[in-house]
Amino acid sequence: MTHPPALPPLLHGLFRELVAQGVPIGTRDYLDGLRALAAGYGSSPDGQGERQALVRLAQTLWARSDEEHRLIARWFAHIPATPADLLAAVDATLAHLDAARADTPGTVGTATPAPPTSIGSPAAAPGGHTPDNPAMAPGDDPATPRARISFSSVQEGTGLPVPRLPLSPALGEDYVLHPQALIKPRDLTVLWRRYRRGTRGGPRTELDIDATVEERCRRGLLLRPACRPRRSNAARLLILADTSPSMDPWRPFLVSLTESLPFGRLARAETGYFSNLPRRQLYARPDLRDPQPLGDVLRRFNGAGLLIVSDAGSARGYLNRRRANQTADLLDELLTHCPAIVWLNPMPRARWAGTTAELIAANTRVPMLPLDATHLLRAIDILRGNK
Amino acid sequence: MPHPYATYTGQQSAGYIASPQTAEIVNLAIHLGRPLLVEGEAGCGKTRLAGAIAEELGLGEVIAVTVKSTSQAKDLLYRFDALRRLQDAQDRTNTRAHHIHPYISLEPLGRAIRQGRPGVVLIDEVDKADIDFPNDLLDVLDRFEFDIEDLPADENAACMDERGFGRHVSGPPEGTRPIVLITSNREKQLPEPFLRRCLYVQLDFPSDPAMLAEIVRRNLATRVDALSDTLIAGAVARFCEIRQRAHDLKLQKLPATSELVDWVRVLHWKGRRAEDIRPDDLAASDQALLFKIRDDIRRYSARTTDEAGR
Repeated sequence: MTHPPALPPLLHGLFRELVAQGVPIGTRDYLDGLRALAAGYGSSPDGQGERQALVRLAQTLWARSDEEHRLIARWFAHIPATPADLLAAVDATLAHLDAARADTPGTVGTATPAPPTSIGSPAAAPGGHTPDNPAMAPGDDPATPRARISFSSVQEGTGLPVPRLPLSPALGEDYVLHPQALIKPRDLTVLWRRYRRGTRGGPRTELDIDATVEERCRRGLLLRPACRPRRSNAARLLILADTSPSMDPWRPFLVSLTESLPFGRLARAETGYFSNLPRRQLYARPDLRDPQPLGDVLRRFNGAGLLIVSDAGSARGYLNRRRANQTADLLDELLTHCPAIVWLNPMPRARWAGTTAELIAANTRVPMLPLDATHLLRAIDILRGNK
Repeated sequence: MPHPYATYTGQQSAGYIASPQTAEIVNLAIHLGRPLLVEGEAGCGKTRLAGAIAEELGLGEVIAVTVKSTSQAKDLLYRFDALRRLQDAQDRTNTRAHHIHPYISLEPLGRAIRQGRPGVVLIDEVDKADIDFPNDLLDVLDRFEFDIEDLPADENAACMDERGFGRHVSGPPEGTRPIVLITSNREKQLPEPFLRRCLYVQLDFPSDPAMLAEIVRRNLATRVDALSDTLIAGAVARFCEIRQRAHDLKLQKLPATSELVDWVRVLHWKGRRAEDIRPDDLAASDQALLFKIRDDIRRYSARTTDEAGR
C-alpha cells in the first residue's frame, strides 16, 4: 500500500467513536476500511449521495447489530456535511498542487504531505470533508489526493480535533426503548456447557481402540471390536427462580435462562418457580401453576448443583428478619441435599445494604452473587465445586 | 492482494436478480476476501444467490456444503474412514491398512482450499449445527488452511507422495481464494466473532412489483412457454395483497418469492386468469401453494370467512 495507513477524518473519527462505545472492531476492520475506500467503495459514480454511500460502507463493514447501525447513522447525522464551496476550494488547491508537482518531476515519487497553507480551510470544519471526489481525478487512485490532505492533519495533537458524539442522543428514534438482554441466550448456553462432570455411562457404543487391539493380540483374530460407554456429561442442575412481582424486570432473563437450559447438554436440568421464598411446593411454570412437592424435586436432584435466582427483598428495599431467618433455615435444608448452591441476586450489590438480601448474604453459607457475565462464570465455578 | 473476480452486478443471471445494495455488499466481500453471511426470510433466494454469483462471474458449479445438526467443522474438511481401515486390517496380507493416509479423503471445503481456484463455496444453513460449529469454522475460513489431525506426522511425506496433500493442507502459493457464502435461518444465534469476521447481507422480500414480475419472468422463461405479461402483472398484484394480509394476521411463514414463482406457474398451467383470483376468497389449492403451515391456512381462511360475513 503506497499511501499512509489512516482513514479520512470522517471515518477515522467514526472508527474511534465505535471503539469508544465498545463495538468490538479491530485493526483488521480498519485496514479493510482503507482497502474498500481505495477500491472506490463509499463513493457514488455520479458524485451525488456520496455521504449515503459512505454510511452504507461503514455500516456494512463495522456494524453487526441494530444498535451499531443506529450509532453509525447518528454519527453521520451529527457531523454536518461539507459545504460545496469548501469542497470546491479544496479541489482547486489540489489541482493547483498537482499542476505544481507536474512542473517539478523530482518530487513525484515522494509522498510529501500537502503544505500547511492548503489545510487551513478544510481543518476549519472538523471531519467535515468527504474522503475522495471521483469527479476530480477519475483515472487516478481515487483515495490518494484528498486522503493525503486528511492524513497530515488527523494525527494526534496536530490540530484537527476528532469529533465525538454527544453523550445524550438527539431526540428521535433513540428514545424508542429497545429491549436488551442482560445476557444473551447464546452466552447462557455457552455457560451451561462449562458446567461439566464427564463420566462414561449408558450403552456401549463407542469404539475402544485400546481394548480392541488388546483383544486382537490375545486371540490372534478379531471377532468384534470392543466398545465402551460414551463419555457424557453427568452434571445436573436445578434452578429455583423467584417469580414474585418484584422480579418482574428480570422475567425476560428467567425465560432465556429456561430456554437455554436444553442446549446446555446437562444430564438433567429443571427450573422450579416460587414466590418470594420456596415453601412446601415448587411450581413448574412461571405463573405458579403445576405445583410439585419441594421434597420430591430435591430427592430427584440430590447431589446436583442448585442455582437460586431471587432479589431476596432487595428490589423493594425491605428488611424482613423473619423472611431472612426462614430463608436461612431453608438454605440449611437445601444444603443437605445439594452441596453446591449459588444465589444470584439480579439487583446490584450496592442495593443489598439494609435489606433482607444483606442479612441472607451475611448469615448463610450460600454465596450470593450479583447477576452479570463475570459473576455467572464465578457461579458456574462454584457449582463445579471450586469454592 | 489482487483478485481475479469481475464485478457482480446482480442483473445478469438467467434466473436471479439481486438488488444493487446486495450486489455492492457481495462485491465488497469479494474484494476484501471475507466470507459473506446471508440471512433473510425463507424462500427469498439465500441459497440461490451463490448460484447466481457463480453464473454471472462464470465460475462454474457452486461447491455446496450442506450443514447438518450433527456436523462438525472437521466434517467439511476431510473424512477418515476408520471403519474401513479396521475391516482391511482383518486381512493380514493387506499392507494398505498399515497406514492411515489411504483412508483419508478431502471433503468439498477441504478440496476447495487445496485447489485454490476461483469459485464459489456455499456453506448452507450454518445455524443448523451446534453452537460451537461456526467458531470452529472461523479459523479455517480466516486462514484458508487446516491440519488433518487424524494423520500422524510420520505419514506426512508418504501422504504427500501418494495423495498430493500432507498433514497441513493449504492452497497453492499463487492460488486464489474462492468466494465464501454462508446462509443462516437464524435458528440459533451465531457467535459474535463469527459475525464480525463475515460481511452481512439481509435478503428481504422485494417490495417493488416490477422487480417481482421480472423475477417471475426470469425464473419461468426457460420452463414455461408463452407466459403472458398480463398474467404475471395481475398475479404479482394479488400476491402482494395476499402477503400484506398474511403480514397483518402475523402468520408464521409469509409467502415469499419461491411461492410466487410456483403459484404463477400453476396459474399458467391451469389456464386461470389473474382477475378471477380474489385475495379475500382464496381457493383451497391456492392456499395450499402459498402457505406452508396448517395453522396459517386456518387463520387466513377464518379471516376471509369473517370478512365475507358467512
